[in-house]
Order: sequence, then structure tokens, then C-alpha cells
Amino acid sequence: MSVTTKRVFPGVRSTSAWNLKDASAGSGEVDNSDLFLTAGDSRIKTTGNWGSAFASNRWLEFDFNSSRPGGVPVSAATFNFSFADNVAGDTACIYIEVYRASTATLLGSYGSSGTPLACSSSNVTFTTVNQSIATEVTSTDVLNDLRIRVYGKESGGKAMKLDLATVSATTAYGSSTTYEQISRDQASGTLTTTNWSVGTAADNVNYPAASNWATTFSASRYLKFAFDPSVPAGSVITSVTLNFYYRSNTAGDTACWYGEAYNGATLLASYGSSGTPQSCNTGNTTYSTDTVTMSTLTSANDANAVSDVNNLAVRAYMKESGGKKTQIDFVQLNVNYYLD
Amino acid sequence: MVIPPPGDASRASRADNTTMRRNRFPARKLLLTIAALGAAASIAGLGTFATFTSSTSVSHTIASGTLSLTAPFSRLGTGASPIAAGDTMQRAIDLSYSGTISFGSATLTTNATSSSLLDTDATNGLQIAIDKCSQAWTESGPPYTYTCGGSTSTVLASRALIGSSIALSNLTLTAGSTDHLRVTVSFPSAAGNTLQNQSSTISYTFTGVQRNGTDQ
Repeated sequence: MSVTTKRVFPGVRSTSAWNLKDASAGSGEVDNSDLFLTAGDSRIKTTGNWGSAFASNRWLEFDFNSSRPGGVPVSAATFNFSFADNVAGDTACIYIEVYRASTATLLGSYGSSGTPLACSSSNVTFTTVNQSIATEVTSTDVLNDLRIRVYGKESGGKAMKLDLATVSATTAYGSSTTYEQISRDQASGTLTTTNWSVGTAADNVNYPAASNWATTFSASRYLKFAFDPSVPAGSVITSVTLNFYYRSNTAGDTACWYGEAYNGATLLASYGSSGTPQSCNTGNTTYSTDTVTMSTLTSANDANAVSDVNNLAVRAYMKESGGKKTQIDFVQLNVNYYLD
Repeated sequence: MVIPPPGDASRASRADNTTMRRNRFPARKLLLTIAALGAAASIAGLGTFATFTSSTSVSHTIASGTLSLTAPFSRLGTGASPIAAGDTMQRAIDLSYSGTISFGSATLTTNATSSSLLDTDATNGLQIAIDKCSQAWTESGPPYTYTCGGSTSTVLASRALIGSSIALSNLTLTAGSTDHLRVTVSFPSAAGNTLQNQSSTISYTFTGVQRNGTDQ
């Protein structure tokens, strides 16, 4: 009797909405995605002021999300980091260390205080580092539990600008990108921790809509979330759910929403409507913790389920009874799939 | 595989996967028994002194029996792919004792001809259990599942798949009878991701041991 197991066991893999476009004003989308999502998107994080020399207590840290199926060998993993000096004429330099996030175990380092991994002498042009960390990240178990620490110095004791911090990885089943869930800035020696606004529920960090909503739904007023779950080609998707946690920004007001799922310009499904919202929530103290079942995106119901899920964008249309803002605590896509 | 009587291990025959070979009850031992009887008679004759002699001739025929263990029906050659944690595979096999000598016991030896964590991880790898139906199992599938229209009994409680000379219980073993077995191979629900993308090929060898000798 010959027995072979599935290449990827069934399981729910969850990923936050890293890509966030805000059309709450009703006048087009504003990119409020994760600051470290993409290079060249003009979404820049400015660090605290560094020392002019490397120091053990001056660093940045990035904890990455764990959305890959575990136990899969990784054939290539790369830390992608883009930075520039914040001051003309100064020079900023970095080196990195690779850790297991859960145990804070140092796995390896690239560059050193004596031999930096990279330097930038421009406050205009970003220097991009694509450092292989394949020696450390040998499986998705490590990839799902990854922390990168970036030590830095700035010749004038000033800040750096950061444009990109991701980890790209390749397995036998495809390539994926892992995004930062938590960033820590200790450039100045004092720690500042920043959670991705919609990445963790009940962490006292939320995404406030950029503009006030209207008191009625409008087709031009929405938030748009994209996820990049990187479901391997050929996978069978058995369930898809969306977590959407929200509340009004104003005491006594009521916020409502309904959703639409898209692949590009193609509408895949709707969840509620302007006449019958998906849900409503009154007040600014408790989040409505909605879990939306997206059964139309399963393989049983969608011949292009993998493509549709990988390219999924969800629009959340909102209205607010007082015409005020809303707060979004958590937006996460949960995909249960396996690969034979 | 048939185990020869003690002292005649050289006659053991090898079995391939899932099949049981038939073996004639060892003729050499029977022949030795007959030779011993002749010697005793000669010794008795040497102690007799008489003028007149009389003799009687007695014919003593001893026929050896046959010991045969076969599998006239087996699904154990049917593999499964791809499986996930929590999956089970049921396969039926009939063990037939078609010789004239009953068996005293039977064992199962399993080994991996192609190995992976599925067979080396005794806890989270494949597990085996065997039960018996008093009549032929009713098969459906594939994937094969079985129901018993009679009564069931446990032949082997769940354990790690790989083992040597694993004792089997509640078998009939009587010459001329057949045991209807259902082999259930399960993949524990607790199996972790390290068992993804693993592949093993398992060989099953049932071995019958002749009943103890009795007065005949």
C-alpha cells in the first residue's frame, strides 16, 4: 500500500489587508496602505534620530505576518529594505540581524558595525537592499515567525527615511511576500512600537477613515482593502471569511457598512447592500466584530477561486448617522485551503 | 508465510506483500518418526530366542497434512493519495486457512519498502487497526469502506503501523475456514505540517504458525 500526503494540509491561513485605499471623501482613492508595503509609493516612514555611530540600543525591528502554510521548505528568502538619509549631505548606514520573533533567538546577521550592509548618502534617492536570508529562513515555519532588526547610524545624528520592508520567499508552490505586522523604532534609543492599524484586533490601534462619511451610502464613498494571501496555484479553497471590525468615531452615532468583493474590475459578490447593510453599530466604545462568509469564493463555487482570492479587493461602503468618521480596528482575510 | 515446526526452520518459505504461501507439513519430520519406530522393532527382535517363529505384519500408514495460509481477496494493494491528517483508509483482506492443519496463531509484520515520516513517526505517522467480521465485509467505494452484517471483533487494536511479528487476536485459524479482516490505516488528526508531502509504501506479511502437536 502506497500512501502519500497532501503537499499542503487543509488549514486556515489569515492575512491582514496591507493595501488600504480610502475613498471616504467620495472624491477618489487615497493610498493609506502599510507604510512599508511598496517601494516608490511615496508612503514614507521617518525614523527617530540615530546616533552617528552604531549602538546596540539603536535599531528598527519588523515582525512579519504569519500567513503561509507551515512546514513547507523555503528555497529562497530575501529581506527587501529601502532607505535614504533624511538630511542632504549626510550618510546613513545599516546592518541587519535575523531573529525568530517568538523566542527572540538570533539566527544570523548581515553586515556589522564595522562593515555595514549598505549606506545611503542621498536624501532623495532611496537605497534598496535585497539581502538573501535563505540560510536562516529554511521553511515557512521560520518565515511565519520572523523578525528583522536593522541597526543604523546617521553621520549627522539625524533620521532616516524608510520606504520598504518586506520579505519575499519562494517555495515549491510559488512565491509570496510577507509584510510587517509590527514595527519598532528605537533609533533614538527610546522605543516606539507601531502596529499596522488594521492588522491586529483589540490592540488599541485602529484606522480612522480619512474623511467624514455621508449620512447615506454612496457608491463613491468606501474603503478598499487588498490582502495578497498568495494561495498556491492548484489549491482547493474550502472556505473564505472576512473579519471587519469597526465603530463610529463619535459617541451616539451609528455607523453601517456593506461590502463588495472584486477581482480587478469584476464584481464577484456583494455582502449586504445600501438598502440592507451588512451591519450597523452605534457608539464609539465597542467595535462591531463582523465575520463575513464569502462562500462564492470557494473552489466549490468558483472555478477561478485561487485567482479571485489572490487578487481579492473588498470595498467597504460606509455611512455614519452624524456624517462623521469611523474607526476600523481589524480587517483580515481567512482562507482555508489545501494543495493535493 | 508459514512457520515450520521447531527444528525445521530451513523450510520456512518467504511471503510477498499480502500473500501467504502454502507449505506442505514438513515431510522430513514425518520420515524421521517412521524410522524411529523401525529401530525399536529391531531391538525387540534381538532379545528373542525360539525354535519356532511366528510373525505378524502390521501396516501403519501416516499421512502428513497441509498447512496453507492464503489471501484469496485483498485490497491492501490499493494505495491512497493525497491524504490529510484525520484521514482513514479501510482495506479488506480475507485470510484463508485452506490446508488440512489448523494454525495455532498468526502474526503481522509490516515494513516500509519506501520510507518517510509517515512510517517512522510512531506517534503522528500512520496507525493501523484490524477488525474481523464473522461474515464477508460489505464493500462500498472506492474510496473503500466496509460494513459488517454479522458480528465484529478486534484483531489488532490501534497502534503504530510499522512492527514485526505483531500478535493478532480473535482469528479462527481453523483449517478450512476464512477470516474476513478489515485493515484500517489512519493518519492522526494531530499530525503536523512536517508530515506534508510525505510518501511511504508499506508491505504487509501475515505469518501463520502451526498448531501445537497433539496425540494422533
